[in-house]
Amino acid sequence: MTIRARWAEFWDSGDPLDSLWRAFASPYLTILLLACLTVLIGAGIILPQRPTEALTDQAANNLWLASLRQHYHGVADWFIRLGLLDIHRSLWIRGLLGLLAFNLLLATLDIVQPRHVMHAGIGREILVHDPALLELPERLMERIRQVLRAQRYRFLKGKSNRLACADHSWAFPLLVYMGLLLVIGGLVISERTAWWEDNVALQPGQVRPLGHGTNLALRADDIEAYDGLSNSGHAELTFLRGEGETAQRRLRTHTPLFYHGLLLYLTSTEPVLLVQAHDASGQNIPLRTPESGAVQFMEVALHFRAAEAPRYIVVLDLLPGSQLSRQFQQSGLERYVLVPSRDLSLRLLYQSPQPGAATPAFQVQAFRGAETVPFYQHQFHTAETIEIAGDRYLFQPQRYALIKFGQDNGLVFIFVGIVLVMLGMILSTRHPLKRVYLALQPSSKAVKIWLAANVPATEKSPIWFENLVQDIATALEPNRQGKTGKNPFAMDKKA
Amino acid sequence: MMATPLSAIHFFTAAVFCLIGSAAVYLRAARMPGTSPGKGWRNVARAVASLAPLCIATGLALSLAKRGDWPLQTAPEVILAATAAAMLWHLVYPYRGEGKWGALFYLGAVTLTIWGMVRWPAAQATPAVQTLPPFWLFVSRLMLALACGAFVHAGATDLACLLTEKVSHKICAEETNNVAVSLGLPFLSASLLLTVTAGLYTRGVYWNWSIAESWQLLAWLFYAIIWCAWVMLGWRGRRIWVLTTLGMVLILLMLNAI
Repeated sequence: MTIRARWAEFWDSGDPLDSLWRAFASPYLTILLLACLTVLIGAGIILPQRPTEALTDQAANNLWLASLRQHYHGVADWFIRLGLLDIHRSLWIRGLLGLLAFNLLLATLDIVQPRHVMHAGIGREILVHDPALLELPERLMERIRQVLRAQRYRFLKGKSNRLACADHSWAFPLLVYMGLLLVIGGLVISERTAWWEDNVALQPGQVRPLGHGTNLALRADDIEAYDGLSNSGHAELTFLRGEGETAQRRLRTHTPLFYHGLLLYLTSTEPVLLVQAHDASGQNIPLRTPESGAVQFMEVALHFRAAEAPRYIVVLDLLPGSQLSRQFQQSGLERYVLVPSRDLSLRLLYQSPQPGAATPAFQVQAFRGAETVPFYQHQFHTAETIEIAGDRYLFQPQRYALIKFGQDNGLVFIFVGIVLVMLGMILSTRHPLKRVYLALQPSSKAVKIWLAANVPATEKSPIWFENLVQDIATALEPNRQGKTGKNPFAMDKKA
Repeated sequence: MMATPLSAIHFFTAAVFCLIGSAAVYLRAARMPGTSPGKGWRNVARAVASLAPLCIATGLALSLAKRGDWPLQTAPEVILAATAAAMLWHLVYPYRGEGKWGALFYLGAVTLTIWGMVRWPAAQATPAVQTLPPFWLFVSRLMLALACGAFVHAGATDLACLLTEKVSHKICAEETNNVAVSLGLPFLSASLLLTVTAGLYTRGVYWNWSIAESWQLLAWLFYAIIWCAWVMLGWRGRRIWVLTTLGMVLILLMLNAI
């Protein structure tokens, strides 16, 4: 069947609104939209997608785009214009999901109350000649209703007394449609209302307000490192509201914590070194770091975080699925402290604990002015005061918890939706939707009962439909058939 | 001279021989004259074929014992598990059509097994990058393998139906389409759900748009189209056969991308 013929099947010039409803609620549109989504996601796999690093860093973005143009020449600009390099965040996906949601919503309403559905599909006719039934078509409809109800069909009267619809196993596809709607709704709620705070560093005893109107604060009481072998990494957290403590929880690595609608993750625990300097008289010596610029501190906290060094060189790789790789200009495992008043710089190196060892090691190297060779170096594992060039430097190794927390109310909808989709798919395939449309056309000699199934006219008539037609025909005039031995019904195959 | 201990590859090779043997017996049965040729031979073919998933499962178990970790961590393991799953579905819902094209399934299974074997040594040498805890990964991949098995079984059977176009095949094709949609799609959905849950559980991000995740979603969308056509539109026969055959190709591409 051509697209034009299919469209003609939907369109009723007498009622354009009804026709539009039918077109937008049609399973054909669902298939078309799902196919478009499939193609888009396929394009997202084949075409290089802009990595997150390029989105947040203009320099990296420019480099990435330059490399893309070199690789794809003139086509690259078309990719950019069509938004094919950010497919997963593009309007294409959002638009298609919006249309799909609209289509699913109308289709759901049509399943619950099929008022706008045309009587298209495989059809059969039954001619009834019984004079008693000829006079009262309502009685005829009631008889048919009884037959259908006996077979557990849901019977729905149409706009007039001569039209009706009956369906069986309608709840299962409804589950799938509602599940998909919940998933799309959950995605929308997630995008609009979800918030996350990433890489929040908490030192032992530090109180951190959670914000976002939660009225809660968080305190890390004890932090254990994750040894990389078992789930031993954890942080003891205390939730505070106002002045009082509301709860105490243990947050483990690889296990989220749910509290008052909040989700908390222990991303990692990072080693931190607190540095203080005192002169011979015990006075504090101001310190600064390359990251803090001209600002000076009495105490600096050095975070050793291999994966989060601030500056990197982008290594371009446009192969599908490969990400931007980064070469760090400054290793995340080395930090510098500057002592401007003494024209000194301290280089501090972090060494991960050896297998079997509990604590990491730190190495301090001291440099004078622009010298490249350290005039002093020392290794330590625990808090230690070291004398360098007549001053005393206090180094206190600590461990901070890196926490991610946030709220995403859409998740519940997404999960419930997927479960409903799964259930609906299993049940609906075992018991597919059977829908029959009925129309009575009385004339002076007979009543023509027109029955149509929800199967395209191009397909073979299903067995359940043939059996149902036969059952209705038999139920309407069983006696006459028994007496004469001749089938009084004219069965006209229209398919 | 010392005897070489049995390794996983030995069992996979045995599975290949079982499948080739089954295909040969099946073709022999198809060439026999008569309206219902060689039913006994077909049972022999099925019996030999039933050894193949056993061999694959033993090979995977050997590898697991050697590594001391959850199975299905690498792509070849998933490919081989999908082949075993396809064989299982094939034994539960056998192809009842006539003609030589029924052997297509066995040949497809042979190809899949050899593909898994070719990729096996490299994958064993370089362990997979662990993004999920192994148990989550195992359950998720098991669901994926069962789904892929159902899709490959349905695709191969429908391809046979497409090539022969016999009315007598319709009933068995409907049965296998049913397997693809009623079993494969829920298993694939379960795999997606587990991936989402595991991502959320471990990283705090339920969807990453990684290549493996994108392929899974793409396959799911494609089979959702088939579900819609099957359940809502009542499509049967040729159009569904074409779609499930295309689906099988997509599944093979997906397995390559895991």
